[in-house]
Amino acid sequence: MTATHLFPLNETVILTGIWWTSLALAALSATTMLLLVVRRLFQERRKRKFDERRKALTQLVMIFLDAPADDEAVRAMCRGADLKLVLEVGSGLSKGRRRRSRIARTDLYVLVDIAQDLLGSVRGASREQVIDLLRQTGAEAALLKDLKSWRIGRRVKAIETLALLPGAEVIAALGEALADRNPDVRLAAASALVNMGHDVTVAQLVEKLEVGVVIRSRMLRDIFRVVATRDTGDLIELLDSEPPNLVAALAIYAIGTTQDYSLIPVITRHASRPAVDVRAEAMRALAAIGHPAAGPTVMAGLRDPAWEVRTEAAICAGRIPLPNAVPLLQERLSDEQWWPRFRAAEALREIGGRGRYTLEQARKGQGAAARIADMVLAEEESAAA
Amino acid sequence: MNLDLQSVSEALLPYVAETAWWASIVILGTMLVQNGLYVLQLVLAFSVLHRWRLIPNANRAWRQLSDTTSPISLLVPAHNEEATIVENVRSMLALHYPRFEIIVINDGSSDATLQTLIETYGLAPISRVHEEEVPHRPIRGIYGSPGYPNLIVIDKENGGKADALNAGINLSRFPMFCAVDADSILEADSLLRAVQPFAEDPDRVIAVGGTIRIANGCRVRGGRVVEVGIPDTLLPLFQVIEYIRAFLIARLAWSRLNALMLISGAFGIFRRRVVVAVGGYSHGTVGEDMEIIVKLHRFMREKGADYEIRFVPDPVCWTEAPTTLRVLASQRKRWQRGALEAFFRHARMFLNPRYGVAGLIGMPHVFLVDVLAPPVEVIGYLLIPATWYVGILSWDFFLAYLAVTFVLGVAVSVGALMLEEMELRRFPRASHLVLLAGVAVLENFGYRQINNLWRVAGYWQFLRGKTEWGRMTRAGFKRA
Repeated sequence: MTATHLFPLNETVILTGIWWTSLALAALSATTMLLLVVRRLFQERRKRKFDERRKALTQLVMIFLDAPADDEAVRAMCRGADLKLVLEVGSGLSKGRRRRSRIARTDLYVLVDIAQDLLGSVRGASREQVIDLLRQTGAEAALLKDLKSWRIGRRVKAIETLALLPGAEVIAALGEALADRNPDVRLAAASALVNMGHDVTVAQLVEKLEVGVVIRSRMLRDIFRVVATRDTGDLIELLDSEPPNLVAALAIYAIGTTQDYSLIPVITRHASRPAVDVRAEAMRALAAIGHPAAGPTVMAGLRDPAWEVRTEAAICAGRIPLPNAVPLLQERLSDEQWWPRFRAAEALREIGGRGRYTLEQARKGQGAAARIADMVLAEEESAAA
Repeated sequence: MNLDLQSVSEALLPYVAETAWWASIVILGTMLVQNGLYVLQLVLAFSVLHRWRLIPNANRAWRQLSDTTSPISLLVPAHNEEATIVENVRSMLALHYPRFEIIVINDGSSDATLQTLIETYGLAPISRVHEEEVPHRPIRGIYGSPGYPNLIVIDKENGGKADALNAGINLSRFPMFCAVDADSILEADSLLRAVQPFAEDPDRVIAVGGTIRIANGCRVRGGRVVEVGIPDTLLPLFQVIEYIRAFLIARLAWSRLNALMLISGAFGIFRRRVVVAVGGYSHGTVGEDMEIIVKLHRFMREKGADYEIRFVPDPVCWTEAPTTLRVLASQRKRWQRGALEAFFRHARMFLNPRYGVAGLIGMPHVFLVDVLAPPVEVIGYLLIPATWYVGILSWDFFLAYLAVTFVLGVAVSVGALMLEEMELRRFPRASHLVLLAGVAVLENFGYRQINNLWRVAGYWQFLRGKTEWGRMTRAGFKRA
């Protein structure tokens, strides 16, 4: 009995096929490893060069930041191409001339790398100098070109750096990136534009980012928050247009971050929407504003059928604080769910006075309310000890 | 009588031969399907890694990710860890993450684990509000210190790792928790990187696993890996290749399909409320890390919820690999038992369309790799030479089979090394790559076979109902 019993092929054909497959796989594996090693050696060399250039250029950028016009100090520390580079850039800046220096493309990326780290830590005039350096050396132009790269990572990275270089050309390019086919690129572009202070409407953002459909990232919260610092009118309009739940929750969150108590009625209007997430977000937003005018809504939240909303309402009642909510919080000490019980006990402690008295009385009783009151007070006592 | 026996055996021989032939075909088929799956996983993993945007360093990870994070509780079960616990907790306290708490659970250690922690961190008994949401053995005391406000130590009766994690879940207050082994080392920015999927899709992602790497050969200082290296002995070297294959191919590929059935117990992040909803970690299992993931899939599918369980390749947790055959054998038998326990506890998911890709891809893969493959391969080691010996299988066919099996194994390992090198590049030197390529070839001559024997031994222990963990002794990290 042989393999031919199973396959309607000649045994020799099968064997030849297996051997050739094995040989081909072995050759492929060996070639792959060889290529990987050669590639690695090449990259190690390139990395060594990059690191050397980074070290040298970091030194130059530092000199430049300290005293861009101090040719003597620069000459003392630089050699050859570096000297040419720093003098050109330095003189361009110090004399107020806008002239693009020609530097090697690899150096541009080294500069961008240095600038990315520097811009995360320097402020004021130094920051402006770094930005000018990127522009004058042509790094900005290279990054704008990278926006067309087929590599998603390169496009996103370019956007993140361009976000630090406000200007008409950059804003126009980022506006185009808002329509990129990749959602990560669109999100990065939206974040950049909003953080640069460019006027992108909330409706545009929701449409371009396909919020809740394609993009659900927590980065959206940051984007909406920044939008709210400039104008809440758009957000209110959006909320009133009955948007999808995620969009409504984001808008409510953003309004809450303004801490503007005149916006409490807006949140209140949406605090009874059918979606639990939206109602819970409304309670969080009211807690962030922390104004007693939210009292009736918070008290309604304490009676909400969803335990998530009752929990957030209890936190909110403690944070504002709302002494009028004490009877309802006392009820919540016996809530069927643990988190509303715990947060209600914490809220009573935070409200103090009548709230604390209620908690201490509950401790003397029995059942779930007594247990949670005892634990919260014991935790406080152990912390004080 | 003799004549009768002879005639009976003559009559049976064709049937025996036919059975042996079909058994050989099943064995060869299983191995080919398994290797075919590896190739499929390799392609899927490559497509994921190709899209993955690696953040180059810790500073940038902080700048780009810290604003999008939620607070997290690190749960660290510790059983007889007095030698390393202080250093490991210190490294965890220094993690780069905006808001986190560390909950060390001393699971009835018989050594001075608790005392060492108390003395080093100036701990004193405290009260902490908590609810018994998931079951565990009684807590004997809770400790905290004003000097380390985000460090809590729970002292409880011994109940095993799952039990300790449940105690930690009850005391945790943040929406997510991260289960970490007390003897593992997290990279400073690993939490930041690992929570990225939660930030990208906060409503759907319920669990995320990170990469586990072998720390043997790396230099460790102050609970941190300061220089990546590779082991200088063969046994851990084999495990380096195995880990790269497991994490960079299998987990990444199944994560792409949302069919990931295992997040390593050494480093996994979970949404707390979902784990509480499934009743926490199950008791009486040595594979609690796999069981919880299968249980989560089952729960979410039965609820009809939209969810994702993901794997991310760049957050790294370093662990020490066994350096002796005895310890490695014990670990592998335990892993095998764990996989079988998880599979048979949730066997109704197998090929059940109700459980979506988890039931139609994840569970069949577990069945193939963990249930079917170990005994089939070991039977193959015996049967294929035997069928060749009695002339059922031709010598040429036998040799060709051996060649293709070995070469496929090497090709898959080379594929994993290629992914590692092209997308992550964690090994600092080109010589490491050459060495690992050699190991990928060498492991086919003995190591893989002995591994299968251990797995069959694990099978046997599972059938006998063994539930102990076994002793895991470690040599200790190489200090810088």
